[in-house]
Amino acid sequence: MRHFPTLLWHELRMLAVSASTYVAAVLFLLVMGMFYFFVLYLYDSEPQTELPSTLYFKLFWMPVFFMVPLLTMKSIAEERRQGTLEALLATPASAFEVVLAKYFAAYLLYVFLWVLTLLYPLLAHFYLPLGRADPRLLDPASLAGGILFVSVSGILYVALGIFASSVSRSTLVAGMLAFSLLFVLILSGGLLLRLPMQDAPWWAQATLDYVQTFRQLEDFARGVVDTRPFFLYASNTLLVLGVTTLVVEARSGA
Amino acid sequence: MFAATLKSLEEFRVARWAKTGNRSAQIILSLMLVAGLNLLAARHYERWDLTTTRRHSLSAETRGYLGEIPRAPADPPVELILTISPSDPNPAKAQQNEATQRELRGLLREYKYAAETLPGGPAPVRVDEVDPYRQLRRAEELNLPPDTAVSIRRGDRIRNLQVTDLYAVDAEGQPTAFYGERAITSAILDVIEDKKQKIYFTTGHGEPELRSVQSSGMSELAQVLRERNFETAQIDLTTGTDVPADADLLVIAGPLSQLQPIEAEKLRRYLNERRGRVALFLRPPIRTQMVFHGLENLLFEWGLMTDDALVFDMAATSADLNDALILKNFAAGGHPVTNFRYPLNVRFGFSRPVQEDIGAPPDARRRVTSLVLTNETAWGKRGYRIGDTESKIIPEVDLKGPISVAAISEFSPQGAVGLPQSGGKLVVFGDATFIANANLGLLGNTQLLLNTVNYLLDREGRLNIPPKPPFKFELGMDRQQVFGLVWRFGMLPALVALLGGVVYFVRHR
Repeated sequence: MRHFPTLLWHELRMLAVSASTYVAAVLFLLVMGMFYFFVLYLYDSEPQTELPSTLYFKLFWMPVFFMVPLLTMKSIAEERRQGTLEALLATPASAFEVVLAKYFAAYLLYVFLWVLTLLYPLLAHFYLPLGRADPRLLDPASLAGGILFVSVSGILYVALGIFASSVSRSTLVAGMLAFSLLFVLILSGGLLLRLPMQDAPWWAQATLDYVQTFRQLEDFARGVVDTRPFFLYASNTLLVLGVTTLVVEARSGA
Repeated sequence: MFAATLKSLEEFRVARWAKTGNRSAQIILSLMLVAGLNLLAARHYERWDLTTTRRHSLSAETRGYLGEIPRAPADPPVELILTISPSDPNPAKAQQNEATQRELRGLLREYKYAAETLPGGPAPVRVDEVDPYRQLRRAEELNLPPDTAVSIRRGDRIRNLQVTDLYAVDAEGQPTAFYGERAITSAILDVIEDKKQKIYFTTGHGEPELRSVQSSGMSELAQVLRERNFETAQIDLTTGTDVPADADLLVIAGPLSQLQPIEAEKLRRYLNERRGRVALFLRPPIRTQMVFHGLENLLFEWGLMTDDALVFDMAATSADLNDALILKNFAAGGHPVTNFRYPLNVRFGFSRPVQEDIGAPPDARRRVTSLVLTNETAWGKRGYRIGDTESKIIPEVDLKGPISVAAISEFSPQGAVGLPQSGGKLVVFGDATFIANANLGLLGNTQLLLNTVNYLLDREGRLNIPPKPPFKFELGMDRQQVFGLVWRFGMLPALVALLGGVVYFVRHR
């Protein structure tokens, strides 16, 4: 893994100088700013039974659907299309190090952008007189839980994006594949639980409940941290990154 | 040469198959490892409440009680089934239900976690969710009463909690406190207790039957008590039978004729020597044979009196079209029997006064409280009999409002050594019809009855779990603040765009 830091630094530099990074970041921040504004507007219309930050983080899945594919679709697909991937793999760096470097670069940017969105509650707290008077606008438990959840869940989402990028030469196809995988992962559990599964065996219900994203989010966004999602996302991330490495090796003839 | 080419082709094919097989095996083994890890993680996990007020954590008292759940392999588990649904056809109710469902779901998850992480080993607690609008068959199997929010079950013991059991509301219908944890823990205790508390109803004096479904019967009352895991039975004290040893509460529900001295003596012994609990529902003295109920001396010893008078109230806000009393005044300073979680009135039929007898022998250990009172517009017509035409108040003779129509006498458990009277509770209602089938479901009658039973059986004070304040957050923004927010929020993406522009310009210069 001695080549990993060099590769990671290189990927981060490439992200920092790439125009598409800034386009994605501006879009993401615009969307999240709009969301937070509308959340505050909702609280202005009538009292709510949840904290603004809880409601805000419950909308996390919307930007994830476009943000993760935007950040990851070019990572491996573009290199394969340009023919630079084989050259990269011919270096002493292993396929796993290459995949890991691209993954971590995308993940760090993903988390950085989410942390930036915490400026919105901060701005609202200091600007609005009622925000200054009521400390619940900056409720630390809810904000910490929310950011923790997007960080923990993001490790798998970004890994899926990298995987999608590894199976195609086309960045568009990679983006669509990443979107589809995220859709299935985030929304299908909730949709399945809504079905009248009266005769479903107990283990099916228990499994769905375990993997169901919105149940996990409910806890974290309220300020309750549960260790189960950590294991769920971390273990599956390692699996996905492992499969991605195998795919990269296989497609490069290694 | 052909053979050599063929041989190398076969070696290549074998190598490819081996590589594919190797990769497939890696993936399958990894999948199994991930599944195993997650199975372990699902059974052994931790939860932390980051809130400063530990709002989402269970109290130590609840965790202690969860430890009392029987854990033998043959014991059935405690099932906590969330049944409130946001799919209600009424949109306003659906919105309210969604908030309640969210609150309860989080609470039930804490119960599951607490049960699984008890110091003495996990307790058998299962949490489930049933949407009665989407899972019709399962809802039918559960046989849920309407508006059930949570159903707590263990074997054949069931406690169903309605939304009204979970919240206290003010006069405007706004929730003021959330009693979810207390209600659920209390229900769990009900379903795990070995012995059901037994309530005996006297017979032999024309009291309504527990099984009678007529409007004057008490089948509804019996059902309400069964739903709360009470056992009911009837007893005739006119025979040689004494008050049974397993009687937790004795109810005398509307005797039409006078109780005999032997019955009064049995009640006296039960109250005084066994710290018994008695609820007496009296008929109004509108017929001569109903004037005396036979317990006058007993009530006198307990500091209570019931006048030979009938309560009237003709004010529009105090009576309904059938001349039933609509009562809104309850114990001054509050009493657990009349501490309702939401504003309630009760509806009594023709009633007789029940109040403290100030002529009774003083006893510092005795406390008498008027529970339900009429308005000031009411009066108690002395000596009124059915068929009398004159019911107007005679100021020097008749009782003036407000008149107490229900009262409780309680002895403090710290009685003086050697004296027999200590610890019992006697509650007397001047009307017996409000617990009949026709009236029990009206206004707050059921709640008054349940509060009475719970208080007499000491169920009210057994839990010391404080309610949580309901969460509500709102903002008030004027137009200037809205615009101010818009451009402030726009600053962040603008700054990032500016940074991107600078980077692009520098790179391409």
